[in-house]
Amino acid sequence: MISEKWAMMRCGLYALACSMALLSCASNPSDEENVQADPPVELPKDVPPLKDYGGIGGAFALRDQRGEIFQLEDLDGRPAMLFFGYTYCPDICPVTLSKMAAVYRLLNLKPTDLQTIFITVDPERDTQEKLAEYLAYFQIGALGLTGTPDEIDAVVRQYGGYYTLNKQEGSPDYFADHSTYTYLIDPQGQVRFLFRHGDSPEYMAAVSRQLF
Amino acid sequence: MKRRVVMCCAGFLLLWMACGGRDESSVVVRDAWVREPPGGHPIAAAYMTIINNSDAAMVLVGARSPVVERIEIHTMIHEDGTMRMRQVEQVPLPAGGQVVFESGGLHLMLMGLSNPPRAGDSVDLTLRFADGSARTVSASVRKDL
Repeated sequence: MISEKWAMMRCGLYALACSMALLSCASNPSDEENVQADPPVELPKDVPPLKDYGGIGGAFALRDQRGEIFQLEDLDGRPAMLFFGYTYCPDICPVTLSKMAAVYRLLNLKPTDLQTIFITVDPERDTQEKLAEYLAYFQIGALGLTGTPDEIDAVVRQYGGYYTLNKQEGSPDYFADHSTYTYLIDPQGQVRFLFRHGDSPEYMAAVSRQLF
Repeated sequence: MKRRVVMCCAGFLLLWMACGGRDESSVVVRDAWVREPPGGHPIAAAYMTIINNSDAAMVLVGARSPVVERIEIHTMIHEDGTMRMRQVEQVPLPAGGQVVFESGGLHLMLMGLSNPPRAGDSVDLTLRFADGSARTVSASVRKDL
């Protein structure tokens, strides 16, 4: 009898869970609509000031997804956000680029106001075509930079970054360990802030706003 | 009247069979979703909360899906601004406990997507446990962070 009661209770709970799941599924689309409705977002007010990172950053030249040479000087007075990643990166890179896209929305910026720079650490797989397809998805006019491993290593070192490709023999799939900082670069080409992976788009927008 | 009683008993028996014992309802999966792969890339990460409602510890040992060549379980270690991703062979699910697969942590890595899914699609994922049981869930594909 006890086990019957227990079974019935479990059934009840199961039914409750199912209906909750169904309800939550049904309510999702409207949640998404609300997000798209651009509610006014209050940006945090108490954010740290921009800093000087004398030891890291500086000029470099790499090739973009169109095959053209890009030099930091080409920013020509525009600020930038710079990130090292790779397109096979399943989690960190798309999340970071999505957060960058959110910064544009939050500050009402056009891609010409702020340049997103994505430097691949996996030039072997990240061809110009792959970079172009991948970055177009985020609709922020991001530059996808690549070069020889030596050229990329030099820029990574210059920015105090780190990566290693975990290639395994016999497997075409590999992933990278990589530093996850996003560098905020001022119109003079100086690194002025390091965003960490856990920073929210609102925080990133509030800090970046100091450059405008 | 007699027929109604028999029907009622049969119904109850079916319900009891459906809910009793260590069946699939002992594992509940919530909020299963897959991040839409940018630019149609053949890999994607899947996230969910797995709840073990049974009295016994269980172990997740793998997953499969008809839309993908293979699925690995990965975890991420974030230290000093560097993300390291590592494959894990199994994930213990303590009795009465839950394990959260989320961005920046444990996730299922879908590798070799034959037809990369778009936001709004759903993907069937079959979770395999050490006791030989399996649980299939439908994961929604989203653009979320």
